[in-house]
Amino acid sequence: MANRQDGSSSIFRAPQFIRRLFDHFPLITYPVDPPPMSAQELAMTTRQLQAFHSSGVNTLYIFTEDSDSDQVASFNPACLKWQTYLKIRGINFTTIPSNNHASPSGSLPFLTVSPPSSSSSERQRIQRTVIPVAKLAQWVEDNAPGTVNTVDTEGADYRAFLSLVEGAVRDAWLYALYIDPINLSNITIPKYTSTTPLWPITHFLGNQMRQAAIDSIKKSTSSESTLPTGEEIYTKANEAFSALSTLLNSTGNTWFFGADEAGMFDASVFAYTYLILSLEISGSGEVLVESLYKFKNLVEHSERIRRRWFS
Amino acid sequence: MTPIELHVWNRAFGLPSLDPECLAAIAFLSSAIPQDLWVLVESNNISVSPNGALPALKDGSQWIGGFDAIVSYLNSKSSGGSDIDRNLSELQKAQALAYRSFIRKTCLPITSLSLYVTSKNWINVTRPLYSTFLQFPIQYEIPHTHHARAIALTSHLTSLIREIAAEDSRPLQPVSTSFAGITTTDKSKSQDKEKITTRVRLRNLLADFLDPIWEKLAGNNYFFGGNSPTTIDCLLVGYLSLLICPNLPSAWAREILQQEFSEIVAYNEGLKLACFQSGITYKHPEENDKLTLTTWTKRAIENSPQTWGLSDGIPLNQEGYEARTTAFWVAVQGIVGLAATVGSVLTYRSLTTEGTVEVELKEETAGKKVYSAVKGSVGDVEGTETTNHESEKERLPIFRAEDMLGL
Repeated sequence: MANRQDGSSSIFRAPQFIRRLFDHFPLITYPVDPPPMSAQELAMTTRQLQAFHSSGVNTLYIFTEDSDSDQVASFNPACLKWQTYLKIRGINFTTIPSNNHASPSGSLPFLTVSPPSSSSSERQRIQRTVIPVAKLAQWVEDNAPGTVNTVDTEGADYRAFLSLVEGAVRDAWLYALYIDPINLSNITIPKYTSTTPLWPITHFLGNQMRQAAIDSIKKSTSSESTLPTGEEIYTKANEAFSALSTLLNSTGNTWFFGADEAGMFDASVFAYTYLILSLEISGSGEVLVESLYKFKNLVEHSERIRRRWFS
Repeated sequence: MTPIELHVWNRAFGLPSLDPECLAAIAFLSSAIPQDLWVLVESNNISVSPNGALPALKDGSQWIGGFDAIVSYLNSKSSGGSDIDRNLSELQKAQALAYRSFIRKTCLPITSLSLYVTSKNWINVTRPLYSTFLQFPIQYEIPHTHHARAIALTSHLTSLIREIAAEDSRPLQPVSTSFAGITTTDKSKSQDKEKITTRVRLRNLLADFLDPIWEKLAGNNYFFGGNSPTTIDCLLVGYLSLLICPNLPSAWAREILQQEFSEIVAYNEGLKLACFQSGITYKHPEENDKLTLTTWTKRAIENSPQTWGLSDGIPLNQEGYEARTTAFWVAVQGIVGLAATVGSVLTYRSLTTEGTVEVELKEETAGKKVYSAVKGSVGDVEGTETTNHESEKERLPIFRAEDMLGL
């Protein structure tokens, strides 16, 4: 009775034998799972793995086609943005096709890096550190060689124009690739389900992706309209391209915000413009491709990044 | 010439509307066109708007929905005469577009959090507010829809919402902890600390939106300098007023703004005087545009497939929604028709089967006689008639549809 000082009713306390029984749980605590590895890495011996990792190769896990070449661009704008940015900042990495089930945070991309060579124990040396997407920018700042792009990412105009890319341009991208039935079945589903091309799975995944896109667009347009239409979404994207084109034009047409070298904003814009121009979008999405082609400097900007980092 | 009508959500908090986009549209009309050319209609009826949201503009028989569409419609109608952005450079126009998207994306979650999701404010102020201007069954549905939308918009702020709720319900805390058998030491101190961290997080949330605005304003009266408001000023006054003006029980938004962003509060006061105080003409909605139980019910029924998640999607154009509504009514007619057919067949069947069963029973009791009578009917007409009469007498009053066919 001594343990009932608080005076609360004993009905809510479990009998002692049950409490004792449950004290034994969990019976076994498994060690933390190692970050995902390729089959090649799994087959290696500890010594080989050590050598492999100390060579300083970082691995970026993204949605991408299964290919040996690291020059292949991801077909997912969020992944492509980081892939491009890492290349711009001169970071040495290989890409591995993956999907979000592999990611510790549930979303791609993520980077695994070798631990610094100073770490002592052997176990630590073969364990790789995972950098999720939220911490990627900071990791790049800490580990990449310096950059001449000194655009303030907290600046007012930077954030305003970024919201335009992540708003109007993204909505149009989602509409063209996920909601338009032609592109959904010809481009999106085959690309995202290439690892499990079995009929019912592709069908359900396709429906899930489409529903997610619908929810995302509805949320993004809910301030103005509860009945958004594809045409409105494409018109807004056209206005957004026009504004981005004016912005690029106002500072000499090379990189955004007049920087001497490409930066994060250039990577964000490229992630959409490159994919819109290169994916052979048909159906209603042709409107989007045509409206982007009207803005020559955006097309050239995209081409400039592609030639330098993806060829 | 009849003045154009601007349909908006009801006035509230000393402002002409409770919705930021409606406030922005009011601010735009008062700065862009003369006062006698437009009237404000508090119709609260979203079914008048082609894009399903207010504000909506009614020009004769034409309807335009949404702030952006209203601005561009009036600009093209007056061939630039009412374009309050005409003095801006190309780059400033591009910036204006970018800031429109920035304001909506960052500020809408904040106003939603303050007015709808902070439960103290929702229960004590915003929720009762809807009952003051909506009639009986509708006053439950519309605020619910707005509340649900606000929750969806603030889904990325769940931990902050929990912190605000915990802070607001502080007196309940000791009861629940003692119930769970947990004793907290130094309660008041940790609570104070919690309160400070919540405040800091709310401040950072507001700063995400206000720092860039403050940076661009740089002490000017208007967003792009100059002597008159532009569309960005109109949008800002709509969103900022809803953070500053309402008198709420959990007034974190107003307090933080007044303490740390006094320049923005002053900017908003100036704009409010210019845009909202200049004697707006009000008008009652016309009979067709009124929010009545009938229009509301019709809309609710039409939307029911979406509400139940049966049909979802975003059609390419407005006709897509109309086609969907038509398809829905065709389907309803089809279902009703099918149900009626099946129903009548079943009724018929049940009635007729009952009849046969009855007859069979009778026939059994009548036994051989009927059998022979039928047999006899091949040659002997008279005999059949008489026996038929007999059996008919016996099976009355059961209705048989065959009898109506004249046999």
